[in-house]
Amino acid sequence: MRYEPENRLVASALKYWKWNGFLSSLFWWIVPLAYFFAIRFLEWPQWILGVLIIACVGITILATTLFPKITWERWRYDVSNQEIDLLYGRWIKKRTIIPMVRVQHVDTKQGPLMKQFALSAVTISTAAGSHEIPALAEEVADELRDRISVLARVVEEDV
Amino acid sequence: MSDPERLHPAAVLEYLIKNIRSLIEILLPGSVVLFSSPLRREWIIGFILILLGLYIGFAIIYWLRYRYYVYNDELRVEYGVFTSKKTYIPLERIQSVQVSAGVAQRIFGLVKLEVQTAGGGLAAEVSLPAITLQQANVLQERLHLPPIQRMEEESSDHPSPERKLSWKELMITASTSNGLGVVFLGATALISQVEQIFPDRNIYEMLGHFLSGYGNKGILVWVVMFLLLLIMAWLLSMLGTVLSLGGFLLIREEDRLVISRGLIEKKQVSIPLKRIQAIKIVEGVLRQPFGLITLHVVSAGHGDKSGRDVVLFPLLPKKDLDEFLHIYLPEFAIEKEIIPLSAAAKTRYRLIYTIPALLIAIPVSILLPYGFFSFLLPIGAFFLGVQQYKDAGWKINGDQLLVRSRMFGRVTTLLKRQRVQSFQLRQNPLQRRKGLHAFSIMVASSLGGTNISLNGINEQDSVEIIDWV
Repeated sequence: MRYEPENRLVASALKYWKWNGFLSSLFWWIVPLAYFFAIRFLEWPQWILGVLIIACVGITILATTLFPKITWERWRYDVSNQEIDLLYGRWIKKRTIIPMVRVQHVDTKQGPLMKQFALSAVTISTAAGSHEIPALAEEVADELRDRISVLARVVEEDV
Repeated sequence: MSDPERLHPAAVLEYLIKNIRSLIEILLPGSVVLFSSPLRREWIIGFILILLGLYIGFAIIYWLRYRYYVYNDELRVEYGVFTSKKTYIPLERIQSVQVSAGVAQRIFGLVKLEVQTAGGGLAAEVSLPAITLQQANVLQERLHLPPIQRMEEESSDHPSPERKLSWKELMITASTSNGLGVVFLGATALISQVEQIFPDRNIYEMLGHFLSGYGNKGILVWVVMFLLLLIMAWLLSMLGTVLSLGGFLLIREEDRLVISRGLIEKKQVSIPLKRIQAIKIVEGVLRQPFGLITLHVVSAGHGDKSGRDVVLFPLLPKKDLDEFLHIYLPEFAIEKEIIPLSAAAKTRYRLIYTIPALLIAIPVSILLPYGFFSFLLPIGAFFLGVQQYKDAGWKINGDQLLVRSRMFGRVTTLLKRQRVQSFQLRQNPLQRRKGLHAFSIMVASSLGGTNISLNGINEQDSVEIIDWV
């Protein structure tokens, strides 16, 4: 029996996801906003506006508290010499294993919000799709990227 | 290094034919406008002739400028009339070379050669539309590939194992490739039987009465028209299959499989054995009852425009499969016994399509007359689910994994451990309660990856598969 991967994501990743969730949830507020302007011109019932606002408050609260927490609690990863082992998924628990010899290239990326929290994402690409470790401390991500890149180069094999 | 070579002059013709549609699209409305204008006729004809001349001149210059050669272990192509374009492909990046001969090529005894790499999607990276067989073979040699089989004659005294698709098999393939037609042929046959039992009733008229509810003949006409259209569509699809799979020939060379097919446009593709990612044994709904199967190969850099896998052999009796694999793909072997899914997964398979089907059937039966017939849908969905559960399973043998599942047709996939690009085990909250898992394996293919998955294995089996990867 193989053990589940051990490494957790860094604690600041949770903070980042909370902010990210909050900002993305603002998108939904377009709906009540549009409705608010619509009822100034159209004879639509007022109470729907209330329902929409309550729904948006709910979405924002969930997106800034519960969802990031569940996602963060679940995330684990491991990088051995042979393979990359990922455990994640908010509702559906997913375990992905990528054999090291199949890694085509690996890169890190950092959005503006991630930069605020000194985080980076590591993307691992194979000939059939790519996988991501979404939030690691910058130094950890850089170190991991370089390590995977070296390990992947050891066995030069064909597709 | 080889000297830069040109395409055969017939490439000009090929280019003209290929672009004739866009030419007509420009010229036709243009000339209508011109002829209705007060300009003199001679002027207009002269103008059109000049345009045509320019067009042909362009094609000739395009041909003159088009050069290809192999240099520094790269296939280099240089072309372009106004801007000069250069494409260099490292030889070791070439995944496949496909040779074909359409009508234009066959008139001059030429071939079209297309080079594919793993990246870049479905379109060929380099396409040489008209070269002689000799030129093609020189190029094949440079690319370290074996010479092309002659496209026309049958390779009779070939020492390598080969298998042909006979005309009878071709006809069976064509008529079972599309489920629709057989269903309707069966239905009309049934109706003619009923007619013989009740000779004084016109069954079509009865159907018409039934469908309209008032005996309105107008509806009957529409039904018959619809049936005729369906039969026409089916015949056309049959013709399509015959044309594309006619003359199917599979040859096993030293380290590769060579597939030739096509009646009007001949196609030849060679797949190195070491580039085969997985093989799929497909038992279509109409073929399974007759013990017939189709074999596909998944390979990076091959596959048709819709992203389907390469057909390795279109029709094969199931009992010949062992022998077939032994001759053509000795690395793979089919397992007789497979490990079934966990019994706890039964519920999932029974309900997965039945519930959505019920959600459609209930409102339909309330809202529409005769709507209760829509309950056939959830009943069908239930039995499909039951059958899917029964068929599904897996088996590990050394470094080979077998995965069997059914959507409509039953598909058995064989793949090697070293071909696994990534492996994923999934569990949703419902599955967690029952200790079930689903897994999916990605292998490389022409569309950037093929997913092979199975839903409903128990904890212990999931551990065995994850350890195998």
